[in-house]
Amino acid sequence: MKKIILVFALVLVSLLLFGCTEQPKKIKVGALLPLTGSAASYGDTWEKALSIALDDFEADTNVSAEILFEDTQLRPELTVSAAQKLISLNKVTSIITGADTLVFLPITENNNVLVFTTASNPDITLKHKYVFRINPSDSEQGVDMARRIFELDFSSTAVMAFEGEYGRGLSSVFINEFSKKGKIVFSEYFSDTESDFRSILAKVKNSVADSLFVIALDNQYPAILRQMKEMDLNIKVFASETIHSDSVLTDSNGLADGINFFYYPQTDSNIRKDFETKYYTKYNSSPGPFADSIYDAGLLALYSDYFSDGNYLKAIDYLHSLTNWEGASGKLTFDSNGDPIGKYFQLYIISKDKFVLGDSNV
Amino acid sequence: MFEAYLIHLLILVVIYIILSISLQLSMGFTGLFNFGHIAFYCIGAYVSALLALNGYPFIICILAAGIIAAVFGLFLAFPTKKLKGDYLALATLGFSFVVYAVALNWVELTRGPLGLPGIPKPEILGFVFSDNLYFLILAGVIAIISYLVIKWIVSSPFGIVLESVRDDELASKTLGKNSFKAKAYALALSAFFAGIAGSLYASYITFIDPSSFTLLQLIPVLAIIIIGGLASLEGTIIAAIIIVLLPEPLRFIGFPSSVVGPARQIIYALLLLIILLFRPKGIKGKVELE
Repeated sequence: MKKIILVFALVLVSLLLFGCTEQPKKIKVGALLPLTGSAASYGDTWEKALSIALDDFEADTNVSAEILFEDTQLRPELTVSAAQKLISLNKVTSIITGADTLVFLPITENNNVLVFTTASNPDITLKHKYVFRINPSDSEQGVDMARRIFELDFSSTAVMAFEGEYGRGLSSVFINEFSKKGKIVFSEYFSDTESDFRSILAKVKNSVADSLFVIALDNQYPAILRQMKEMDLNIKVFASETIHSDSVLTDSNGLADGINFFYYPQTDSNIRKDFETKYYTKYNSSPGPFADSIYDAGLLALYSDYFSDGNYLKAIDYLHSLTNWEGASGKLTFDSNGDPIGKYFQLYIISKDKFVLGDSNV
Repeated sequence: MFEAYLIHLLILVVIYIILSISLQLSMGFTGLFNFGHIAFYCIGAYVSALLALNGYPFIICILAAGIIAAVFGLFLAFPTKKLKGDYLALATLGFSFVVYAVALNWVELTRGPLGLPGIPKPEILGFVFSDNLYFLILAGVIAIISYLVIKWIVSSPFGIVLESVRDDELASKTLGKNSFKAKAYALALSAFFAGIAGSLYASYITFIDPSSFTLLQLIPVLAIIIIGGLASLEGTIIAAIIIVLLPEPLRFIGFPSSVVGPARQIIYALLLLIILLFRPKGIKGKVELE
């Protein structure tokens, strides 16, 4: 038994010491992504987007940089351990993430580490310092969505959303706003690993709802649409931004046509085109949901370190000095909380397997 | 800075030690297949977090976490009174799902999947344990007290009754021992310490949501008590150190990050298989897993 413990201790100490070896100074940024688990499809495309951001930064500045990826599996205790490791051992100056942000913010705050996130929970920027959000928060999205659906003459809607910070947060803002003028027939929640939605859809079919608002993970939309077809459920569907994924178009075989969803305006800037081209060339696929925003987060993290020489106060000043900074996801200006100014959501429609701006066919 | 990471890992080790030795009390010493342990951990975390967020002092929060978890443990003992083995495992597993569902859906109280952020760090007599080193000392002291109390319980005549219930309940009853009472107390005491561990977890991470208390969290705890050996507190402590620390070096080996997550699960499975094949009683176990 003593031998087992001795061997274990030796392996542990040697590996930890290996991890602590002094290395030449270079810009180091951390990324906490769900690389495995239920949201792995997002983690995969975000990792690729960050890799392109790193290439672009190094090519532009001739400065060596590194993005250290850690898998969170969307599990709080793993996220905290990974954040602690990135800050304590890797000495990163900032962390990029797209989900599960609230859980590690106390650690980044205590260590003066900046956070760049695409997560939409309003508390992230309202209650914490040093956070810069690339996309608008749920409080803006949900309100915009509810008002727009009502304007389109849909007055009673059913809501189905996945259980999770994003699904619950967005749906509750939406429900609050929509209830002011219209009627929420019912709201149902499902797990982020759910694949059978028939019971919820049957409830929709037997209800008086004139529309259905769906907040699901991208890999759940094709199943929802197939099951709607099986059950002969014809109702106007509105979806959240998570439907904006090529995999939804590929896997739903045209069933997604006519669905309206909300997404931030896609710029046709050269930066965006360049990002899409590089992504396609490197990975032979189109960027997934929010990959453009994560790419922007990566660039901002790297450049803020570069221009501030790793000083967090200078980095914050640099970020607040940016006005209409042009990224792949659009132009960015941060308010005093770190929220984007003037970035809003618009109604899109899926038409002939393409995402098209506008609300035609509604 | 390396110390900060090490201290963080040690805090997790200490929390897992309390959680695992408390499960030993019901599973290892009493023979109850208690898969509801993570639910008591969850109850403790939520009780402590909600009280702390409402301004109650840490001592009250942690004690209330333990006491309310113990009440639920006692409550669970009644419907499962006549269940044994696999059936008890399923019933307690069901209890875990119920608690998880309540944490997820009672949004007015728990904020559901949005979780409870901003849980204050412990404060005792005006001293705030905001530094992780001080938190480690606090958690370590609580772990030592938990260990000593559990050690005292299992070494007492009551502990011998628990072991007799585990080894031969009929014989124990024949000798006039109230086996139900013994099992109910064991479950309640076990839940009490799980609640304490939950309180420490909530005040350390400062954020909890239902995803912190799924079956995935039960797997390492079960692995710890099987590897450590049933009915062995010392073995459990060694196993907790191994199970919490062993996957960490994977982060430094240079594997792609997407491999590290599954590798963690593979390590648990491999360790369990090796232990079950070559050392069925675990590191220092007294009872063989049946």
